[in-house]
Amino acid sequence: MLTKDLITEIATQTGLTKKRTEELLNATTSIVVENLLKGNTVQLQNLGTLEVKEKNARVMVHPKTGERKMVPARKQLVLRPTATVKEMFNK
Amino acid sequence: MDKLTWTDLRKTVAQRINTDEKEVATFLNALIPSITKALQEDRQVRITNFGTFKLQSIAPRKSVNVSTGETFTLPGYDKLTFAPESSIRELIGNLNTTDIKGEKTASAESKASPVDDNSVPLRKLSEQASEIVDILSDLGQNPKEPDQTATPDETEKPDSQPTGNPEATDSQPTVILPETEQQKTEIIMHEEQPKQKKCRTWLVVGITVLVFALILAATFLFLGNRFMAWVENLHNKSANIEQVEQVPDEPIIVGDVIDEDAQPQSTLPYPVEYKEFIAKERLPHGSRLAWLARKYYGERELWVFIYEANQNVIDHPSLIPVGTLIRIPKLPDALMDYSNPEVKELVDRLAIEYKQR
Repeated sequence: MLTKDLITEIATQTGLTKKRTEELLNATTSIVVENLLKGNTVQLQNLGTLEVKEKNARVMVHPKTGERKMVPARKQLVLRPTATVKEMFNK
Repeated sequence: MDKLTWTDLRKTVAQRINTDEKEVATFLNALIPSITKALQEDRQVRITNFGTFKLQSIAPRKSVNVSTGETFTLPGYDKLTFAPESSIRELIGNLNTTDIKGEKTASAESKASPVDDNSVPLRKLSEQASEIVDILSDLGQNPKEPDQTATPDETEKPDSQPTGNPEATDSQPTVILPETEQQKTEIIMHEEQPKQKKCRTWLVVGITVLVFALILAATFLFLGNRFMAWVENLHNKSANIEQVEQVPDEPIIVGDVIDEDAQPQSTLPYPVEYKEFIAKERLPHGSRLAWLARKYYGERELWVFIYEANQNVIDHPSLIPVGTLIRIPKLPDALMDYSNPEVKELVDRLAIEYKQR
């Protein structure tokens, strides 16, 4: 599903106009991203928490040449799903 | 590290676009359920400038109970993941890593470049060598310097001499030099003599070989006819022996060949008629024939037989619509044994064939 479909879905559910929902969606996503960039964790109710995780530097080995390289430490965005969501998608 | 809770989000969004919180609340309360609903339908929701919520299917796998040693299968499940859009991922990836980390990377880099450390002493040696050569050339400040490409023996000898009398005056090098020249000439002489000897030995060897060859040729010319006759005789005899030997061998060889040809046909009942079926399964999302093969046969590579049995439903083995009803055929035991190299060969061949379709 793409953003368009999501917007129409929400619009039909809530009775808001599509334009309005788009604005709201853009605002929420931008705020979430801003907070993540500040290093905050963001709770998405019933879905999970988005958090920035630190990945340690590690040695990477090129599988063909056997060359070793350092992958520098970096940060990564991770979604930790809540227990309810986990159960929901458990087969 | 703060936490942006659901209510915080509602407030900040309301502030951002200057509305009351109620409207935002209705939107947000509809947002998550519609996302989960879409996930259940489409398995992924892409939001522009944000990222994609995705369901990742984890295949069922076998595990062992540690205390009892029993094997059991862990059921497969779907995992919710979030893949941020590349721009956001980069932004987050470029976030300032802490100072400690910077030190860490620095140390790691130094560790990662041990080659440079090793090369330093090597360079020093080469530098030393060049330095030694320089020193030598300095010592031998005379017009007679054609032998600058000095052998190691020479370099050592003059080196020891100046160390013996390091505070030598200008007159002494002139005394030393003739000595070194004499040594050189002696060395050259020594080198030349073995060379000459070697040449002589080679000459002797060559001449002897030539003589032998000539003698052989002569004998051939003289005794050629007789010799040929003798050889022919020998050949005839040996051929007779061979014929005698071959007669009993032939049937055995033929028999072997026949057996080898027959074996794959007899052991591998390959062109299988798929009549009996163990199970029917609707292909779940994210599953593959290989997974079904592992589930029912215990070996992923045997998927080719499932494909063969379902060719009326499936066009290409890796392009199967979700929910396709797939019948798992019952295989003869001989084909189930993947450790058998013949089966492996057959399966590999079929896999290549079907993938190319």
